[in-house]
Amino acid sequence: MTAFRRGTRRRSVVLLLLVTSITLITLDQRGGDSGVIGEVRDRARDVVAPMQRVVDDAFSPIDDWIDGARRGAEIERENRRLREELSEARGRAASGAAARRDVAALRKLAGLTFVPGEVETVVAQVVGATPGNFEFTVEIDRGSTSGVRSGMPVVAGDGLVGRVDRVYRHRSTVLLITDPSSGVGVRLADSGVPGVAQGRAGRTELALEFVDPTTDVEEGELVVTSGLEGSAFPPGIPVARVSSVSGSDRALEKRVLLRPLVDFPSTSLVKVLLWSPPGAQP
Amino acid sequence: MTARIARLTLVLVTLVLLQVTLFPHLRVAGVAPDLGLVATVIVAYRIGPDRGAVFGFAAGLALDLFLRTPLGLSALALSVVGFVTGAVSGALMRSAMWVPPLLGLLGGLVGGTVFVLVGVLVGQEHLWSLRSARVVAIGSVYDAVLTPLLFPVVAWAAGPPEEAVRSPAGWGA
Repeated sequence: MTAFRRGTRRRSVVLLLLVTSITLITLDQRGGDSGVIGEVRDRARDVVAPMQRVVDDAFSPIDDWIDGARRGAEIERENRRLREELSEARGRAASGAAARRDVAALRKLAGLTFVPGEVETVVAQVVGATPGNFEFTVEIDRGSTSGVRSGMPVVAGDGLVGRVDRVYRHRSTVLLITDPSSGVGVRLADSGVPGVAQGRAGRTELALEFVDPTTDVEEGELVVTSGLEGSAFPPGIPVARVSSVSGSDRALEKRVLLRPLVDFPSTSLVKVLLWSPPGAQP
Repeated sequence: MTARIARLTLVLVTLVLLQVTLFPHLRVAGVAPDLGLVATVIVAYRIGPDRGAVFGFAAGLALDLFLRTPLGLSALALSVVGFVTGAVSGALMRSAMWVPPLLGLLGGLVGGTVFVLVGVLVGQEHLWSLRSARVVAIGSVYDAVLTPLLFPVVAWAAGPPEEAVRSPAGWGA
């Protein structure tokens, strides 16, 4: 009799927990970041953020050392390439003003209405990485009180980092472009061919999708945000470089992989562009 | 009873803080362990499936506050882990040293699988990937390794088992 009662109690407890979990999931899915759930999340992050920052600061040199040891050869190659690019860039600098005029004219011709230079920005510090294994996000120390809204683009010195996902009063979560649920409308800088840079689960490289298989794509080619109508990002933000191309012109699909320009683990400061797609709800 | 709840709450808060601040830096092959899951496994092993499920629910809910996935998803997964671990451990040789790591491994596999499957059902389609399988596998091994290390403190918090002796030789408490 006692065993029967205990069994019934156990089943009731588990059933109650499962029903509560499913109710919470449903409420969260429907309510977004507003309401009680958003408020509780906001408070929890405010409490933990200072501790995250202290631990981040303490681990930063160790992370750098591990990263450097792991990528020693790669960094050396990168160094050589950057030196070559620097010398080329010096040569091109003289014609920079003319090129900018050309770009402005091309933007007008292409019907793009947005110029990133006019956009207000907010500098934010990365205060922590996600504790989860199934998402690629970072937390920044700016939120709705700084004018940050969900969907706003986030950039670092080298290029696009991602977009603001969840916004709290003093914190925001940024969905990195490497997250598998992230897709960025891009174009190849040389040919202008559009595509979508799609995050790949667990990989640092992005896949360039929806590209015409007959398009001539070169390794090393720069990829920038397309800024096409309805795009979540303004045009011209550097995103990645083509790291590999496979598949013949006859193939139905060309497999193009992109290496993001931003080194996410070492990025500590970012800028949030206070920008929304034209026509979007503010 | 009140003292047990206070001890478990203290352990839970400490582990969640460690999970959110320290363990993002201690990933193995890009995967962090789930300290809440490890503690749930130990609690369920010590004081039974229903209390394990309740502790798992609380641990999962606390972690959900810091994740992008819907609130309640980890809570559901860890509730199941607590219940399954408590139920399974009743049939195991409780004094054997290998039992806690084995339960940690099992809990990691069950928790990760429930998280992914329910996540996909509630619209997190990106969880359906080979990487998720890899994350669950690596995470389970990581959890198994940490289970003996956390065993003494979590077992202390859970208090004495109500039935037969449940402390395997060598893990303390």
